[in-house]
Amino acid sequence: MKRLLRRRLLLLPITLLGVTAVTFLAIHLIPGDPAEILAGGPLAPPEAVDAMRVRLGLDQPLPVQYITYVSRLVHGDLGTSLFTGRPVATEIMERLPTSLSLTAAAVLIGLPIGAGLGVLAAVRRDGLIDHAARTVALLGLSLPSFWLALLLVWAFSVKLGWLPFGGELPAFTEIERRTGVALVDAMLAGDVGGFVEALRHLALPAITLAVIPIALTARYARGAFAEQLASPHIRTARAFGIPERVIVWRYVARNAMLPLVTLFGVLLPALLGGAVLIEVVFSWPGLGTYLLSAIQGRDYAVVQAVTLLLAVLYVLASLVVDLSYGLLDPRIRERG
Amino acid sequence: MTDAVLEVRDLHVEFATDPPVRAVRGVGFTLAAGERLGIVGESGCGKSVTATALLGLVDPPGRIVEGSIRVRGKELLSAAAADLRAIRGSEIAMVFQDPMSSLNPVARIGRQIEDVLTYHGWQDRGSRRRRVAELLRLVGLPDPDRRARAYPHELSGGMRQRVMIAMALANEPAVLVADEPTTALDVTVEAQILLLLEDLTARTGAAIVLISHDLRVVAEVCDRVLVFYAGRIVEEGSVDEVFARPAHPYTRALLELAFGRDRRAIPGAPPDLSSMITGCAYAPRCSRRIAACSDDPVLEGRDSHRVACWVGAVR
Amino acid sequence: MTVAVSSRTLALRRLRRNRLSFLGVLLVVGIVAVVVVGPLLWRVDPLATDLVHRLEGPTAAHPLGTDVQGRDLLARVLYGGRVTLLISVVSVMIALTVGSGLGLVSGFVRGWFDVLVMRIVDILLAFPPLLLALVIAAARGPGVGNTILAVSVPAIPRFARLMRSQSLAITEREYVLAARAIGLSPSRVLFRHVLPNGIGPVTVQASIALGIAVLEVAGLGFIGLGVQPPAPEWGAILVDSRTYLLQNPVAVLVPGAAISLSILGFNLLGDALGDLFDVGGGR
Repeated sequence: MKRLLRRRLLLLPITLLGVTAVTFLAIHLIPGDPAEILAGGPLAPPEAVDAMRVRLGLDQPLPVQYITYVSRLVHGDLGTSLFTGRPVATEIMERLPTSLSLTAAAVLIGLPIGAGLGVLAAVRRDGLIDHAARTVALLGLSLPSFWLALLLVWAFSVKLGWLPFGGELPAFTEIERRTGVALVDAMLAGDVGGFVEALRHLALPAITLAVIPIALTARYARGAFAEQLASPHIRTARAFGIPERVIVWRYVARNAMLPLVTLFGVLLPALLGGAVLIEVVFSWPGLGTYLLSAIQGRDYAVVQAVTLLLAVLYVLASLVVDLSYGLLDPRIRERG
Repeated sequence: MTDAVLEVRDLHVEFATDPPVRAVRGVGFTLAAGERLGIVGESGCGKSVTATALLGLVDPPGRIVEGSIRVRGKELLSAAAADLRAIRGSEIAMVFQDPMSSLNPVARIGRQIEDVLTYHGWQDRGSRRRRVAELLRLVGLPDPDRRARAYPHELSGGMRQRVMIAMALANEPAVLVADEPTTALDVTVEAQILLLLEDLTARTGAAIVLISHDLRVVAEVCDRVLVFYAGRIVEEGSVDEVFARPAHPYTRALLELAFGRDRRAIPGAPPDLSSMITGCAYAPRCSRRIAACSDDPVLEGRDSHRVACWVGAVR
Repeated sequence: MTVAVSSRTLALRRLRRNRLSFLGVLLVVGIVAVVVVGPLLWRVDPLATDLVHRLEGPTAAHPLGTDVQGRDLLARVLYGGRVTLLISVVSVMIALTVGSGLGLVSGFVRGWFDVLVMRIVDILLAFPPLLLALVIAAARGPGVGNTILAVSVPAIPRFARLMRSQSLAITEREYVLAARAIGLSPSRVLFRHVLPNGIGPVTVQASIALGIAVLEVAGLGFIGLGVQPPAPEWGAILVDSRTYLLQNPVAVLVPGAAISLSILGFNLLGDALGDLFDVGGGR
């Protein structure tokens, strides 16, 4: 385990450097002269273009630019928004909690449902629930989230009028902001009406995003449980009269956790990618809409920073997945 | 009834494959308290399936289609799930062949033994813990408190099998079924484990059903032996009589294979168990086949020695 | 006990998988047939505007209704399918060629080239694919060519990894060693022996990648970074229609269903091909 830990930790900076290189080079993917484009296009006065070039550091040789970029990152400087002129790091911190609240809600909804479906499917192989679980998994992985979002909006907002959509709160609602998450802020402020409204606004985007964890968890849980249920040590447990519920929920669950942990490695990129589009459909004021408005407004500093943040999150999460694998399995824990 | 702890009658096990395979075809025997019964035969003769069937545990798609299994007079095959569970691990217990895959890889062995106690009425945690330590000492694992915290992969093959035996004996069952308990082990370890099994069953008074392809193991441990062929018993009797005066040509061939100079395998292959078998199943491979062999032979002889063969009668 | 899993259970499982495989093939073939043949039968210009008949629900003249500019939605969906699917296929072909090529050579020549390629692959894999596509599209701007670039680059690493492991495994085999020993040129060995063995797994991966590609092409179109209106593309049609969800929900339902069924078809086809080539599947 220690060796595994050491190797993974040694590789981490290399991967992170690579990731920064990609986001750094992304600006050079812009066709033509980035400074000219960012200064306003071909009609921009040459002085403005030069000023922009200096501001972006594009007048420096490439390696110098990269070193400057990385050393700024190390100091927590993610650059400045070309439009608002505010530090990107500050703007990200304002948006991050909102995005996380949506993702967390989706995982909280999706994980138990997916796990329940998957486990029941494995215990009753080829039964009704098994077929349902597999259909859900198949559809959940095939329906594009942005379309599903539109369907739910059509059904629950337009047709039935049960749930609102668009933003975290109704327009012109004021809540004292502390955490940046409307739901939490309303609770902290003791604002019951605001809390209910925030919850109602969260419902549709969270359910849409939850389809991903439901489908993936159901698929993984079913596979892992079915494999474990067929293993010899489960037969041993049965031979010794261990009750079936103990077998499923303790013997099998613990062993099935191992492959299930890898689920998070698959789940995270799917959630990060899916959340961007879902935020756009629901005008959810998180990182996804932030990224998209930056893309549309050609605010490259913001695009760079948000992409970097998401990629780093993803790399760190995969590291945690690998390490928890070792923690859960005593065989790996001691060997590695 | 006498002191029979296990009575098996007309047991049939079928695997719902395509075509279905009938692996056990009418096996019946009784086991007296404290008796040591060996079951021998080539692989695929139905001995392992019978072993798991004794606990009502045949792996799907296998199914016990007919018969009766009574443990201390309690019928297993019609028992409710809860009753069956209560009997397994307390009145009848099993030692499996491969102790590595048969133990839970992510649970400490102390916990695994303790579970067998917990779900058979040991409610007091302290007494369970003491019992686990006692059992580990009993099966010859030194420093039981430390061993109880070990995971299966931290133990040697022999130690793992000792743990398995400790689990099996935890509730002092009347019957212990051991399916090839030493096949996965070294020869030296094998001897120790066999001695341990003999010693502990003698001490607790458990009867033992020992399944083995190795006749020498059975000769060493058992009082009585059943010879299986194609899902049936072809010869049964005391180890002394059967091994000294085998009546069935198949038993002779097995003995020759195990103890004789001629170590060549028996020519031919066991019959296809997915088909109907009429007459003696061994006849196609038998060098002493006669016309009568196309009729079903029945087990005949005296209590201490019976054979199902038209040619070799019990002498 | 060595009686293996019952052959009947296995047969049942295979049959059910076959049914799903069949569904996958049916979906893919069906959708391709519809978008290829459809425009030949439904000869309506997908770009022709008609400001009198704007935002109409389904009528005989416009079976799926019209969009905000009065364009016929059926024609747009049919042509849009050509655009979406063609871009997806071309993107995957490019990713397949570049990725497999890199992987093939990496596994064959090894050394520093292999180390370099694999590090780049690792780094590209550090980005969620959709995010990488977004960023590339954002940097390059919208349009068909840039969409292809944005969709193909994130797909390269998986092909490279796959082909490299195939190449590593096969170059160790005796017949390949023998071929090299008798002096066959490395490129001959690669194309004769190594490449054919990798085709199975690569085909499976290609099918899975096609599903992802359709999702990304439509996703980019949906957020305005892909194919630009008025050119029809499923994602772009969807975003056009979403504002008028109230007036004509069919305009949201149909293109979305087309996207979903294509992805479903490619996913099922991937599973089917995985069974066929006996590959564990890339997922």
